[in-house]
Amino acid sequence: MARLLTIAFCLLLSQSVYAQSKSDHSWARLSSQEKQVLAPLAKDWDRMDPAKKQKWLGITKRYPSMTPLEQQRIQTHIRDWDSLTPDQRKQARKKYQKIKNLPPEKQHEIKEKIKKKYKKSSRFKRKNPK
Amino acid sequence: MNESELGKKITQLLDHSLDNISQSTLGRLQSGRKASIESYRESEMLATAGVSPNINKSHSPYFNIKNILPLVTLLLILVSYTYWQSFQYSDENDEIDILLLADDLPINAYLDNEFDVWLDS
Repeated sequence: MARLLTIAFCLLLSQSVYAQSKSDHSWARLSSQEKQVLAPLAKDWDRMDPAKKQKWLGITKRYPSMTPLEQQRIQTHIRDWDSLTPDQRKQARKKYQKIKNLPPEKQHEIKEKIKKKYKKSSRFKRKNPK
Repeated sequence: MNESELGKKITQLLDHSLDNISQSTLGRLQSGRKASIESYRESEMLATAGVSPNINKSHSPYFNIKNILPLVTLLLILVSYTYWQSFQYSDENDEIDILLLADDLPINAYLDNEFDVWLDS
C-alpha cells in the first residue's frame, strides 16, 4: 500500500513538474515575432493550456517559411481553429485528408463550390449584420 | 572499605542468597529465561523474512535501495513513454493542422454538414 502511494505521489509530482516546465510561456515572455503571428490569440493566450500553447508556438516556427498568402490565411483561420472542440478538429482533419486524396481537378471543383457557398453567406452577413 | 572489597562483599552476599533460594523460585526464573529466549528467536526469524514490525527506518526493508531502484526505473519508463507519446501524437496532427490553417477554404467549411454531399457530387 505504501509503495502504491509512493508511485502515485511520484507520478503526480513528475506530471506537475512537466506541466510547469511547459506552461512557462506567458504572453509577456513571447518574442515579438511570436506575438505578431499569434496576435489573434493574444486575449486568450495566458488562459490557454500549456499543450495548446506549445502547438501554436510550433506553428510560429514554420511561419517565416510560408508564402505571404499562406501567412495571411493562417491569420484569418487561427481564431476559428482555436475555438473548435477536440472532436471538431478531429472531424476537420478527417475531411481535409478526404479532399486531399482526390484528384487535383476534383479537389478544385469541390473547393470552388464550397467557396461559392461561403462567399454568398458572408455577403449575406455583411448585408444583414446582427 | 575500598571499591574492590565492597565488590567482593556484594558477590559473597549474592552467592549466599542464591544458595538459599527456594526451588520454586528457581523454576520460575528458569521458565522466564526460556520464554524470553524463545520470543527473541521468533522476532529474529520474522525480521529475516522481511515482515519485521521494526519501525526503525535505517533497517526497514521499505527504504532499502534494492526496493526503490525498480520503482524509480518504472517511474522513469512511464514518464518517458507519456512524454514520447504526447510528442508523437502532436507531431502527426501539427502537420495537418498547419496545412488546414493555410488552406484556401474557411475552417467552418470542414464542419459543414453539406461537406460530404459536395465530396460525393
